[in-house]
Formats: sequence, structure tokens, C-alpha cells
Amino acid sequence: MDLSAFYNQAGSYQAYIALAYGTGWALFASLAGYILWSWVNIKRRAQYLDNDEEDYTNMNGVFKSNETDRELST
Amino acid sequence: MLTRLFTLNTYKKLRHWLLLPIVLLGTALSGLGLWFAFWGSPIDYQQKETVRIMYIHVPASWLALFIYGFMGLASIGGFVWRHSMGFIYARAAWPLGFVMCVISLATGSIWGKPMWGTWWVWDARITSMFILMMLYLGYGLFVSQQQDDFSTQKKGAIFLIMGLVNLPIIKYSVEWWSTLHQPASIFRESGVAIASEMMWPLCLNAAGLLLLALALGFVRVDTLMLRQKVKRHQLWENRKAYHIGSKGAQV
Repeated sequence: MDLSAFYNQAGSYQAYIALAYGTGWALFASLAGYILWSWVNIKRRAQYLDNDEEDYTNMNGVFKSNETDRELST
Repeated sequence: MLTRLFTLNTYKKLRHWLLLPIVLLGTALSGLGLWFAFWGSPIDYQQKETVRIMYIHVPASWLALFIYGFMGLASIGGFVWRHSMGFIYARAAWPLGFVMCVISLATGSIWGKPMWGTWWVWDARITSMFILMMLYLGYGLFVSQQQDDFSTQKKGAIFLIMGLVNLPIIKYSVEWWSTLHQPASIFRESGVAIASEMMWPLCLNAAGLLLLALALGFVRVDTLMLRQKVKRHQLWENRKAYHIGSKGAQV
């Protein structure tokens, strides 16, 4: 079946390509911007905490106790 | 070996050594991949120039599936090895997977208009990808409600693990049902059905996007850990202030 007539009617392919890449990379750049902005924001808030390791200890181990769970959920 | 991936020290070492190289390599590969996508690869005999959309659509689709698989495995690892890092990896990755899924659906839709004559059709492949996007969104909204509540994270992990069933459905949807979406050209039993002149640019773009997403993933994990640290510090300060206040009241 000759599909050339259909494909020739499809209009400007460049516009679709530009739209696809523009949309894709704009979404990715927005995501990167959001992630970096969140990191800078929390880094600024964490500046006053001087001991880096102390508060991470629970993250390197097993689940915390129920008591700690309750504390964190408050 | 796998257990070590779920420890904070291993994560810190990986991030320290890998972050800068993967940013540089990811940027270089993506740049090169884009050059091939626009100028260095041949056009398709049927789809003509629109085949160039493949170099962003397919890598984004692969990553959307890969990241969900990673999140599911990280959640399983969180339960098996009882390390909270698994849940943190899953939480860190969800916006990346979600955006990859949106990119996949959006670029697929833009590609569909000139080739299929429609922006959207509810065929099995597109519907199952849409469900994947909803799974990402559902999980993300759920775990974001309680930033550091571990029971919420565990419930979210169970949701993720149940959603893993959607991955083989997406993969085999084009074989199990009659779809407008074309069947697999690369990961298929009878071998690769795509010209090497198109295959290499596709791999370059996929590798570049994967590395850039990995770099953003590292930043996300750092952000979540810092957020937890700040919250714990605030709790500690509040508790201290409460005790000082109650002692003052007794005096």
C-alpha cells in the first residue's frame, strides 16, 4: 500500500520535532531546576547544624522504634 | 554486595566519586546524542524526519520503566535488609520517573499526530504508560504528605511493589493486544530490528539522559537526608525548649 500521500499531507515535520524536543527538554530542565532549588534551600536551612553525622545515625541502620516513629510523625 | 548499597557510607562514597564524572559524561553524551538525533542519523523510509522524535521519546520511556523498577527494588531492599536508605532511594527517584513518564507520553503524542493522525489513542501501550504515570503521581503525593513518617514510607513502598506488575504489562502490551503503537524493535526475542545508524544515537541519548537523571537522583537523596536532619534538629530543639520551660515553671 502506498502511504506517501498520507505522509506528504502530514505537514511540516520540523514543527513536530521542535515541539517534541522543546517539550521534553523544558520538562527535564524544570525538574532539574526544582531539584537544585530544593537542595539549595534545605542546604541553607541546615547550615546552622554543626554536627553532620549525629542526625544521620538512624538512617544507616534498622527501622527505628515505634516511639521514634511516633515522634517523627508529630 | 547488595546490602552495602543500602548503607549510608556506601552512598556517600558513591556520590563523592561519581557525581561530577556523571554530570560531565551525561552532558557530553546528551550533547553528542542530540547532534546525532538532528543531523547525524538517517531519516526513516516511511516516517521521514519525524523518526528523530524517537531519540527523546524512547530514552524517556526506557527511563520511566527503569526508574520505577529501581524504586520497586529499592523498596523491596528496604524491607529485606531493613534499611531505611531503600525507602529514601525510592522517594528520591519518584519525581525523576514521573517526569520521564510525562516526557514519554507528551513526545509520543506529538509523534502520533503526524504519523497516526491523532494526538492520543487509548491503546494498550499508551494506557499502561498512563497508568504508570498515575502510579508515580499516587506514590509521590502519598509519601510527600508526611515528610519523615516511616510508617507512611513503608505503606508507600508496598504500593510501589504492587505496582511493579504494570512493568511487564507495558513491555508486552504490544504483543498481547493489537495496538496502534508499533511492536518492540530492540528488546525482542528475534533480535534487534533497527539499523545500527539509528541504534547508536538512540543508545547515546539514553545513556546521556540516564547519567543526568542519576546525578539529579544524588541531589534528591541529599535533599531528603538534609530535610530529615533539619526536622530532627527542630524536634530536638522543641523538646529542649519544652523541658527548660517546664523546669522554669517548677522553680
